Amino acid sequence: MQVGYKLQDKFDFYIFIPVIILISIGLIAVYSATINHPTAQGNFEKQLFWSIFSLLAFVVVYYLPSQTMRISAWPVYGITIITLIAVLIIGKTVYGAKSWINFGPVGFQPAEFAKIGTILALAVWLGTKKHNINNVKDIGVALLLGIFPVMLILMEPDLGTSIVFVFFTLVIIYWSGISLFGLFVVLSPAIVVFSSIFGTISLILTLIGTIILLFLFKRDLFISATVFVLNVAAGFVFDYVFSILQPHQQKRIETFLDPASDPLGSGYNSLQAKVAIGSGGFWGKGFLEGNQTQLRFIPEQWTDFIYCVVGEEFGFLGSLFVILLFTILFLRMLHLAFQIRNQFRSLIIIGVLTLFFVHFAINIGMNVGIMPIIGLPLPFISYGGSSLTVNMILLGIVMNIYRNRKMHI
Amino acid sequence: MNSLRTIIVTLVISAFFVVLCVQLFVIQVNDHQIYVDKAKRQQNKSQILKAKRGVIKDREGNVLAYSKDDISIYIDTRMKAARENIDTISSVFSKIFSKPKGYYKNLIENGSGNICLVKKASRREAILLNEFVNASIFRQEDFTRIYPYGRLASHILGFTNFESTGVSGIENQCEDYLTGIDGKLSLEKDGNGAIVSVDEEFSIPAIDGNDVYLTINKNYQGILEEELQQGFNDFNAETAVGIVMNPNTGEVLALANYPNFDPSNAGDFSDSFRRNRAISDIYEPGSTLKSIIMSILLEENLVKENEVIDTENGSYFIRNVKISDTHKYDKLTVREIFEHSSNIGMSKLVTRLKPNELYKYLRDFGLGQSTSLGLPGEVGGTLRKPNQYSAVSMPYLSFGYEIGVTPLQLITAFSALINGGKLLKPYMIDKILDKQGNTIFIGEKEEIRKVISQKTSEKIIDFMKGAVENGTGKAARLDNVYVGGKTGTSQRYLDGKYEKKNYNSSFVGFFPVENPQLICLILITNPKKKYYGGEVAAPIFKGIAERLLKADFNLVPQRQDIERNDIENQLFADLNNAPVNDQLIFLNVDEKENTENQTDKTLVNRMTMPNLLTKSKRDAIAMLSSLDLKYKIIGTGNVVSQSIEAGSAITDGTVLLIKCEPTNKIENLRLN
Repeated sequence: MQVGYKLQDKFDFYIFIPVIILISIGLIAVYSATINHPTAQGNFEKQLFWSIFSLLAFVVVYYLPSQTMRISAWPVYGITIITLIAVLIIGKTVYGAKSWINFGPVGFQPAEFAKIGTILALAVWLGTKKHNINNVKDIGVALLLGIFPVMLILMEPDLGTSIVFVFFTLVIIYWSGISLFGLFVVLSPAIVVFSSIFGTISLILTLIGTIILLFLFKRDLFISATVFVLNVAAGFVFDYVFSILQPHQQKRIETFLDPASDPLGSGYNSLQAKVAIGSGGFWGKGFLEGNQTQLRFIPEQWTDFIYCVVGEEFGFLGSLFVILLFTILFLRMLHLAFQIRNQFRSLIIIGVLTLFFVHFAINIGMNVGIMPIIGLPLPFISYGGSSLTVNMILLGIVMNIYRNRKMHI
Repeated sequence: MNSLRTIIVTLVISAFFVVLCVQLFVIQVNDHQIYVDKAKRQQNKSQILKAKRGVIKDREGNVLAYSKDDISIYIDTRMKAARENIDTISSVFSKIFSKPKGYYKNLIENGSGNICLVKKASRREAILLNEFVNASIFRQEDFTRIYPYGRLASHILGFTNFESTGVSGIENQCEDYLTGIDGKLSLEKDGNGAIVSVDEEFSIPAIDGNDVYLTINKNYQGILEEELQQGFNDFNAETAVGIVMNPNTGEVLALANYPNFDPSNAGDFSDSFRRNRAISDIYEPGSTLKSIIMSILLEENLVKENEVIDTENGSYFIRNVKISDTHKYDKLTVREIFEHSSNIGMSKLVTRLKPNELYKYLRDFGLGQSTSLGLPGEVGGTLRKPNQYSAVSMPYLSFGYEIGVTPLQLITAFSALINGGKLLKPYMIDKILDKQGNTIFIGEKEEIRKVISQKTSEKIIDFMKGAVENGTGKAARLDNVYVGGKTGTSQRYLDGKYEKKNYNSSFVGFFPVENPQLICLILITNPKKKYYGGEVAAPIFKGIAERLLKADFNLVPQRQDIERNDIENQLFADLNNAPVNDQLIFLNVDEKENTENQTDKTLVNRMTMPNLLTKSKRDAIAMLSSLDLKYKIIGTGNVVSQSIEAGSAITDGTVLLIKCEPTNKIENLRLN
């Protein structure tokens, strides 16, 4: 361990080892889910290639000069917006969403890479000393930086990724030290949106509640009115967003609110996932022995429902091990974000952490039946080159910050 | 940074970790068994293996009914696989089953639950669908009952309903034998509904139904049906029934009714087409019953063959009830009474029996009771007990009224008459074999009782030969085989009264008389144009007998050339050139009875006008045919007036005008 101690100073094994184990589990699970599948048999080899490729990307990013992130933040954000617009025009439609851009045989999802640019841009904006997080104008800009790609992604439409963007934008703003009023300004539209799902009456009641709170904060009329208008607008924007959603996505939201309404339709995947995990029991059925998996009861299991494979074939112990690894990773990243004295770098880490966590929470939540079916992959485990590469690049950024954590600039 | 925020985020992460742990514990440890059961239920499906219904064959193994293993294809519209692929499913089905795509689309979109997309697809078509895998689509064996000969033997075979359950005929009678035992296939299915493996241990094979062999001979049946239909059409009849039996065993060789039906589409036919009248309709047998009555009189030694009976010249009253004969005779021997079917003669002879004796014999012949053939729908009949007899019951019974029998009962009783006196139980099932060829049931000759002696049987056979050779059944005579038989003509009793011009014309015949091999009953209901059994049913019998003899050389191998003096229908024969006539024999027996009313043919003075009044049209023609006289007859029935008085001299060129009106003897009789 004498080598480790020296190396640990530059390279955080508490982050790296869980991730490597998760990628390995992912490879095993993808192998099990696709070995008997007629149309997905090559997926294990592809995932193996992307694992190596993303590891190389991670190493490259790890060794980048520490200033690279700050310098590249705005250009990367700019490219992000351009590709997000481009995909709406020249993109390829997969599963009802125009989310892929193809360069010959290689394709990528701009929304995945947009995560990097948006996190960097938000961190730069809020990490700059001259910006006051409790200034409504500065909050507004921060919100716009996050919301703009969200709107573009919603137009693909990709609900899951949009939710991820909303979450990390809000958490980055929160982490940057927002006041109670600022938090109210940021969160109230979200509450309005949520209440509007339950109908007009709850929407009106929420808006009335918003007005009362605005009076209590005793801000000037202009600011109060602006915040109120923002809230009302949010309610209508959500209506619009809901109406442009694909029917199957609308159905998913409705099914989440009332799961019993459609047991054989949208609820099918959720039920099958639970059956797979539940039938795995304490010890699991063993590698390649999960009949729910091998008999292909869960469509496209190697993507969003990869966690079922773990649950069925490796049981309660395996499932617990996976969430334990994730939790170690999250707490370690949080610890790092707390330690780092540099606002910009801290915000990047918290953004990446939030991104991983939201993916993790929604994906595993829907696998075990406590979250709606929203198409989000499980980081490091689900099949998919774009997602894995982006996650490893983000992890590389975090590790780069770790390497340079003692530099105070 | 802000440690409060860090604590909050730590709490959020930790809380979520705890929530996931709890949820995982609940579903993987606590509710583990529930999900194991759910998984088993959806992975291990059992599919019913429908047993194939047995085949019905004739006595020679010709297939009369079998089940074609068609497949019906269903879709479970509740399943995602159905709703998300309506377009694909519709176009695949449209391609294979050549119906427009919109047809299937419409079915799936508007249906709920399980919907049948294709009813009874052939196995060949269904195989084409195998490559198309969709979890919501499943198939079910759906057998189609096929009757390869169409309407042939429809009343024997019966039909099945849409659930393949026998509703009538053999299909119903042998339901338990024909239906097999459904099996079960234990399958492991994948998420798409495709079968991954078959679990042999928990699978039970279907046991197919047994094969029923009938005593029916397909060729006989075909001949019977064709000839019966011909007669049915020729006489524009209401219904027709024909039965062919082996009198020595009770085997039914053919049985047909008209109108008939197509068992494949039985639902399109009303009950009047599907009714098996041979066993379900009772009728008054009329003169055919005289064979039975005569055999009883012979058995009891109450009559002698050559005993002469006064037949009252065709009109006789019993307690104000008038009994008439179609052909009027003054006197007839017992044998002639039978051959010429004299009602008066029989009425007189029957009185020699005690009511109890008569009843006992009729019952012993099985009349008025079900024969227990086994086919569903067989009825009993009516046979009055002696204490219910009226003063005229016995005379009526003597020529076949006041008794209701089915055609099958009558032919069964006739079989007893000619097989030496044994009443046999008729049967139609030769044997039942399972699919391995093991015998499960075998139909055998079953003697119920001995009714008359061998001697009486031989005598009545001879009488019936006479009835065909000399009497009312001449139309049934064959060129090379002697036939015995008895005609019958009865008025139909409908809605409480005897119908005018609505008759049951029947004939029961058998051959060869030396050793009867085959007996055949023909019953034509409500024939038009002609109505006497000898004119309607006997020729049909002849047609059938000739064709059977032609088709089956083993039937009566010893055939002979029969020389007959009277080759033409005797009713129209030139009487002067035919001195050996039935009437002449009789008239010479007792000359004393010849009075001035004597109008029979030999006494006609060729120079004077005979009295034609009350004569039947037919008799009148016969009498006039010996005179050089032009005549014209108006109407039908009996002569009510003649333009030249009886006794007047006949001059050349005289034209006689005769007016006839129909009279109904039985009607007259009943009016009292």
